Amino acid sequence: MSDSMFDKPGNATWAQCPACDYWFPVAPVLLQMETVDLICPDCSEPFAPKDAKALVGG
Amino acid sequence: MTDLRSYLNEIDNAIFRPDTPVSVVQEITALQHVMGARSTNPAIFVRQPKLRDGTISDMPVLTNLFASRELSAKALGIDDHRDSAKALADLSSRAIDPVVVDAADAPVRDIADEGEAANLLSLPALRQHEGDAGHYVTCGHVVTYDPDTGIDNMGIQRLWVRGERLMGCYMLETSHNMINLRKFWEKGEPCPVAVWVGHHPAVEMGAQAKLGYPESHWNVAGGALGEALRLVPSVTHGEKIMVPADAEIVIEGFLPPGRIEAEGPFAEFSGYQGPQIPNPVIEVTCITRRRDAIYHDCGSGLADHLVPDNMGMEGAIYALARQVSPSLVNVHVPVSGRRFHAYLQFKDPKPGEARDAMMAAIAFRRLKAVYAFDDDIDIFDDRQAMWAIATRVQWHRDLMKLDGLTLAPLDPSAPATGRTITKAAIDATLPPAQKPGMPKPVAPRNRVSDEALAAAEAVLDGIDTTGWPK
Repeated sequence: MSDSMFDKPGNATWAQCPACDYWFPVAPVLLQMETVDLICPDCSEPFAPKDAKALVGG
Repeated sequence: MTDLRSYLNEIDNAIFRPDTPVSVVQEITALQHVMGARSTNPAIFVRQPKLRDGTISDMPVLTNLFASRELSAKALGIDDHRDSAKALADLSSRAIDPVVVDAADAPVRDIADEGEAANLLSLPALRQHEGDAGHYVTCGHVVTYDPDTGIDNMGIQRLWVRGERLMGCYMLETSHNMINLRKFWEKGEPCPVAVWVGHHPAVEMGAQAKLGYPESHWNVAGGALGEALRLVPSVTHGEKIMVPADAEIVIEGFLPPGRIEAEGPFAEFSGYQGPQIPNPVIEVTCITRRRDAIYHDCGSGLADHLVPDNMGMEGAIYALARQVSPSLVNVHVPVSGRRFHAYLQFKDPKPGEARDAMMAAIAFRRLKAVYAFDDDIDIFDDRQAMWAIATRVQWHRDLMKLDGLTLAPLDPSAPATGRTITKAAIDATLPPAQKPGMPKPVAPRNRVSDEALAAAEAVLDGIDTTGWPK
């Protein structure tokens, strides 16, 4: 059994661009908005959070 | 006239001017990293900034202007940077009202590119670090005003150059600019904005003073400079948003209501990337500049970024803590702790007084930990601070933890859920002497005599030690 007070789960959420596979950190509040596209910092491709190739963490 | 140019003339021998082109894509920032690692902090003036398309910009880039505490303090008229806390604690009391000048007498109005002539891509904005979303204006002072009172506000905010006339604008939810923006948006109106870049560093540091809301920063910036700041109405907003006549560049526009878009990631003050977040955007209407404008960049997460704000924090924390602790003699917000740590220094504090002062200080904005030291510890030397913590602290007795305090959104260790954190205050002061003049009831520190130290200095005098093992 773990004690959540002393766990270190981290606080970064990562998204993977569906166009170029680039991973970048995103704030959960941005993902929760759903209506605002993410913008890949590497290829500048905008995409909806639901279209991310992957989302991890958070 | 006191401006960026007059300051650069004053510090001419403290400026590094590379002879070759240096790319705005990471290379200029890499110079700052390398110099910081070598503990050298000159300003860097890049005469040939290489743009993203490989061409050379006509506009030079100035960066690392604030990396040196010594230089930054001197720019404010403070001879010794160690005196910054006391000097900046009463910055507001030295306020000088600004004066308004005609556009014809405003160098920043030499050139005014309005409408489609305005082009942010003509500025040599840097893409500083790997993973940054793009090229950012990092030393832009964002000016908005309160529509209820007309009083302006100003703060440095990161600005992502997304096109010829579009910028993402990072605005903390609690910032005064965000309060102004919300007031306009609640009425369904765009929020007018102007961004000025480049001025005498005293103006830039004074403009960042932590004030109440709504409270204009112009007179405090003038007080920091020691003379009335010359203002000129902006082209787009007229007298509703004034801008410094002696700035290098001004970008004007509007934050359209409800337009929230992704902004970031961006390498932040913490030394880690801030994530992509939702933020408003600025639609640019006009860019004015000097004919031979200098583009001022600030190396994010480097001493260049931390030093001026940390010095301002020192003044604010000193003012807070001094109210409850007459024995407080100094405050240092070390670059090593980013903006999360503050060192408080005391001279013979009465029992409980160091703790009182730490309680007053700990609430300040991004602070996560406050440390109390005696005046035999040089609080500007992290090695001495760590020595005191190692040798004067018993954790059961000297550590105070306070739960449920505000967190800094860009703290990379902050909990993923929840809106508050636990902060710490650590008392690394020695127990007091039983009576004045008597030794403190602790073992004395190791030392050699002043005569022996002088003799050692004489032995080493004139010897080049640079090649010796580190």
